[in-house]
Amino acid sequence: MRFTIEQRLLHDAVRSAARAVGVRQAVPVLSGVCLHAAGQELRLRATDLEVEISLAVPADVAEEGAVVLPARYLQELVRRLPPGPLAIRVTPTNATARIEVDGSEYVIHGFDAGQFPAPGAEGAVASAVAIEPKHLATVLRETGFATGHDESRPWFTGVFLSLRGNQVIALATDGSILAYSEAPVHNPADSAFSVILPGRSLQETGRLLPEAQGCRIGAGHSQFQFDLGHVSLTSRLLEGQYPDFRKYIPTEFPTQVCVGRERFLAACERAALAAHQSSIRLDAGAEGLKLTARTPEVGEVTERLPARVGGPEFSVPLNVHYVLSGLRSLEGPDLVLEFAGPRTAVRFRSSQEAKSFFAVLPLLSF
Amino acid sequence: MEVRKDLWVIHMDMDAFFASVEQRDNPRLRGKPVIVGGSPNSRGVVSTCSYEARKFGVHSAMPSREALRLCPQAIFVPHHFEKYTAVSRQVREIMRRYTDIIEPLSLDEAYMDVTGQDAVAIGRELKASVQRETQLTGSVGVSYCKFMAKLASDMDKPNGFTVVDWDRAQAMLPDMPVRKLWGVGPASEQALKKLGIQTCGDLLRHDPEVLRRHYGRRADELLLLASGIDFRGIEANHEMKSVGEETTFPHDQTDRAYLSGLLEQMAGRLTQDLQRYNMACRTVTVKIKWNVFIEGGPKGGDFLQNTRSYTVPMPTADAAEIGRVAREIFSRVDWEGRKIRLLGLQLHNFVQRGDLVQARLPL
Repeated sequence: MRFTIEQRLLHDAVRSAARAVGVRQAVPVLSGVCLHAAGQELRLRATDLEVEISLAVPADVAEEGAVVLPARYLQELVRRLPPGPLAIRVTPTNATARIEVDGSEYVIHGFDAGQFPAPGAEGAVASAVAIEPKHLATVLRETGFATGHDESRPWFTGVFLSLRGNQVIALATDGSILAYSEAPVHNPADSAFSVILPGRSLQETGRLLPEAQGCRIGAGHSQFQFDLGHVSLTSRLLEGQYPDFRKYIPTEFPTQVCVGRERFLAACERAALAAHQSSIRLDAGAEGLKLTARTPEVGEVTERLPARVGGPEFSVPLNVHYVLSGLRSLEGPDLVLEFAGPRTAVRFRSSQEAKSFFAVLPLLSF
Repeated sequence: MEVRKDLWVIHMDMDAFFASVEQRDNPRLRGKPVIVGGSPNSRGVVSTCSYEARKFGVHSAMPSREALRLCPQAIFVPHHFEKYTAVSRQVREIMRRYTDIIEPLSLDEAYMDVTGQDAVAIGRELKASVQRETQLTGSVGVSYCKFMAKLASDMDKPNGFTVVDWDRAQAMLPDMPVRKLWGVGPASEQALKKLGIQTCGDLLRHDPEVLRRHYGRRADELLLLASGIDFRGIEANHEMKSVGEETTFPHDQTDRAYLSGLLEQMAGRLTQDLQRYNMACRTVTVKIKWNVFIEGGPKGGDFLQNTRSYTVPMPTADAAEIGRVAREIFSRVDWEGRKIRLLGLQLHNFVQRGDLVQARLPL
């Protein structure tokens, strides 16, 4: 196997693929990136058996072949090599790669490509639909933060993604914070799917999206694929029946509060410093919105924010870290807080028209 | 380790605490059999009862319905935990005049370390101050170790004051039933009886090797306690992490209905503890030991053990709910043809009353 490739292209490609490499990898070969040189391209693949990232970059291939090289070492080495073409030669018998640059030589010991898992569902995903990368990025950002960690209920660790007609919706919750988002898709064949994806797959997809020119998504029997044109990510599905938590969120919110998002976020960040057991109190009334927090040994914070309050006044304690994680997932200058009662979720949206929201269940005095 | 024989531990136990507070605050209840706890129409249990009610055989942890049968004229009063907590705090403040080393066991009970002071004088003064300032009585035990101080406070209840020094302890212990030893429950009591051990004297006369074979490391702890030696110190800021109860059966069990019923009873008693500590739990754990012996390990082997837990969306101190959760966990246990040797229930993941807790969806 012999090929020549631009240093920058190789580095970017290895970095993208290496995102799929697990942190603590029990199977040695999975700590590597599989390189496959054929035709006029080099295909790179990495997987932790949950997420697989695959991409191809142009290369001048003199002799076709495949090898698995350790992801971290390869990435760190290539990053430090000078710009320009790199000539890479692999001896198949001992899976060793040699890179020659300006009379210097670097040797990387790898693994036989035969040990690497076969490619995932590429092509096996039926009827993918097109979605704007920026729409998908928004959906992932607005829900990904809300997943939980309870491994005994795997669906909590994932995001529910469902395609119906020309719309995809996403739901995520850890039981106390709930997030909903939706986006338009181009679905002429009227495909449909409902899947639960591991939070990590979506996080990695989110990182790859800014460079995507287009995006198609589709579900297979046990896998899901994000085809971003230059790179594709295939994810395992989480099993289980996703509970539709929207039935627990009130449909009517008698009190609505409009406030500047940045200003509210900054106030929450300051209040968090003095929040005893993460608890802050929100009070909305004629004077606007008030945020208070206190820890007996630390101090107290009282924030008063100008706000437009419609409906009856309210006072509710919330976990400030839930509020902050949600606020950071929204964009835009405005924020609408909606309140329906002391024991129900407080809903947050970026405007009165926004369909997406996150909702935080209150702290209850026991 | 040298045995300390000076008097330095005070144990104070308020008399029929919840019931006395109710009687103090409502003159119409005074001199009457008062039962604080669940209503007899529900599945509630007795939390505390006044001494007037105890004469009829009513005692705490008894089902309220049973209490009503024994004492039809009893007046049932629901809990007022905020009030008990306030009084408890008041008593603790009085204790703090003498020492900062206080280990509360519950709302109505605490140990104090008064090393270097006149423990007997402090004990008397404490008792008088509590009575003067709260109009409630407590029983006080003064001794040279925790175990004896607690025994002492119980010797002359109610309104008692008992000092047990080293010599008095040595005189008492030979005839004291082993049941009084810290950690000896009905199962151990029965097991010891089988070995012909009824009193601490019997225990000390028994071959320690035989005891060690039966009880392992526990045997030496029991022997020390039976000789009146307890090295435990007072743990101020002692934080309770869990409460639990378990029963080892004389014969291995297979009757699911009986065992579920037992879990429910345990739930009733443990929620008493929770309420006494003014807490609620989020996690319920059922512990099972099977009649399957597994060789190996540091102890040379033990019976196969399983624990199964469930975390409820909202903290609870409700006997019925915890009982239901325990039954539910138990009903999902896979028996695989085995029999049960030990059954236990533990409550943990505590929340203090008044704390804020994060609401969760019932998903």
